Amino acid sequence: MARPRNNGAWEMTDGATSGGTRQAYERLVRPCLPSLYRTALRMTGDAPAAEDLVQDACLKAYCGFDRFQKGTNFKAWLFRIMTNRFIDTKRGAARAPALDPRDVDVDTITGIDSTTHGNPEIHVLYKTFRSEAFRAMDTLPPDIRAVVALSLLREFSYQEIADVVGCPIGTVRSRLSRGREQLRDRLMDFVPSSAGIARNAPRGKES
Amino acid sequence: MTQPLSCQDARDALSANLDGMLDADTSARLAAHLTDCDACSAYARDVAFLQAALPEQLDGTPDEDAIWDRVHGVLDAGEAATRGSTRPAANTPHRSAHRLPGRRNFLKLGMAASVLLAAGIGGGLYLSRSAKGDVVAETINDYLTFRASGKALHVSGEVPADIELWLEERIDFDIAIGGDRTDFHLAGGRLCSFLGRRLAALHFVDGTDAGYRDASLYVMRAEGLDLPHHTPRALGDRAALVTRRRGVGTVIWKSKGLLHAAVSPMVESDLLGFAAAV
Repeated sequence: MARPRNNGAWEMTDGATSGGTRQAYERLVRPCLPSLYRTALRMTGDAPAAEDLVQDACLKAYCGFDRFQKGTNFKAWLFRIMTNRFIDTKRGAARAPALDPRDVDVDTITGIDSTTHGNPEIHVLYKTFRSEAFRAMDTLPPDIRAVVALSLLREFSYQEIADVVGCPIGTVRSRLSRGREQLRDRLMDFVPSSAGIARNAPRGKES
Repeated sequence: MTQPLSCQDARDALSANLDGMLDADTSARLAAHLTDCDACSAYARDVAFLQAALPEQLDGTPDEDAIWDRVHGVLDAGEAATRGSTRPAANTPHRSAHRLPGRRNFLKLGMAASVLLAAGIGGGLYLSRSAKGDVVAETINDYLTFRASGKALHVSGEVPADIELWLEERIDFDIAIGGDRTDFHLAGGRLCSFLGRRLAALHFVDGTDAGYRDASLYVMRAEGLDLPHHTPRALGDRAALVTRRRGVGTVIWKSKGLLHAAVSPMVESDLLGFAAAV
C-alpha cells in the first residue's frame, strides 16, 4: 500500500523517557493528535463526541503508559486504545440520542466555507454530501466503521490496521470492502453522474 | 489467468486495489471481469470517486491546541482537584455565564470533562470504580474534573428555563426539575455521556453572599442503573443514597424513570437540603 508510514516516528526512545513519564508521554502523544481527532470524528460523527473520544483515549493511554512496550509502535498502541474504546461504547450500551443533525450540518463541522467560495448552491450541495457522508458512516456497524475510519486516514497499512483493531489482515480487507459497498449504496446521489452510467439500471446479475 | 471472478469477489478485489493491496493475478482477473460486467464497472467508478472524495468530506479541522489543552487539563485535573475545594479561579459558573454566550463557544470548547464519566480512570487521580457504571464514583469524578479542569459550561445564562430547554433539545427526556431553591440558582449546564447514554449536568451556585457554594445535578435515564447496596436515607418521600468520597458528597435517587445525582463538597445537611428542593 503506497501510504506514508509513520512507523518509528513516534516510537519511544531513550531521549523521550529521560524527562519523566508525563513529559515522555506528552511528547509521544502530541504529534498523534490531529490524526487521532480525524479518526475519532469519522468514528463518532460529531465533533464533541470526537473530542471526548480523543481525550478519553489519551487519558486511558496515560494511565496505562507503564504497560506500553518501549520500542513498539506508540501510534498504533494509542489508536488501539481509542478504537477499543469506540467499539466498547457502541457495543451493548443503549445508544445515546444523536445530537441534532443541524449540529453536524452547520456548526460542528468546520472548513466548509473555504471550499465553496461563497457559492450558496455549492455550499448546500457540499454540506449535504458532507452530512450524508457522516450519516452513511453512522449506519456502518462499529467494527466496520472503525476499519473504514482508520483506512481513511491513509497513514496505516492493512497490517497496522489489523494490529490496531486486533484482527487478521483478511478481516481488515473484507470489512473495508463491505464498508465501501455500503457507503457507495448510501451515497449514490453524490457520485457525479458520469461516474455512474449504470446507476439506474438494475445491477448486473450477481454471481 | 484462471477462474473468473464473481461480482462479489470483483468488488472485494476492487476495494483491495484502491489500497494497492491486489496481487497481479487477481488484478488481471478483475480487469477481465470489468470488461464484461457493466454493473461492476460502474461500481468501480463510484468507489474510486468516493475513495478520493470521502477523506475531505469526512473531515473537520481539529483545533489542535484546544484538544491538547483538554488532554493536558484532565491530566492536571485530578491533582488540582485533590488540593482542596477552593473556589475555581477560571471556571466558576458565574464567570462562564459572561464569557459563554452561545453555541459557537460551546462547540469550540467541546464537551468538558464528560468523557470521564465513561473512562474508568485509575492511577489514583480519580476514584476507581467498583463496578461498571458506578454512578457514585463517576459523578464525583466528573464534578471534580469540571471544577479543576478550567473547562466551561456548554450553556449558561440568566434564565434557568432557557438552560433547561437547551439541554432538553439534546437529550431524550425531560429534566423536570422544580421546587424551591432559594439559595441556589441554575447557572448553566453541560452534556455528558455515561454508559452510552447522554445525560444532563446542571450546575447550581449559591445566589446568596454566604460564601461560594456550588452543586452539580446529574440527570439521566435510570434504566439499567442500579444503586449500590447501601442503607437508603429518606429524602422527602423518596429513598436516596447518601455517600461522601474525597470530600465530595453525593445524594442519588430515582424518580419517574430518571436517576438524579446531586454532587457537591458542601456539608451533608446542606447537600440534602439542596437535593430535597430539586
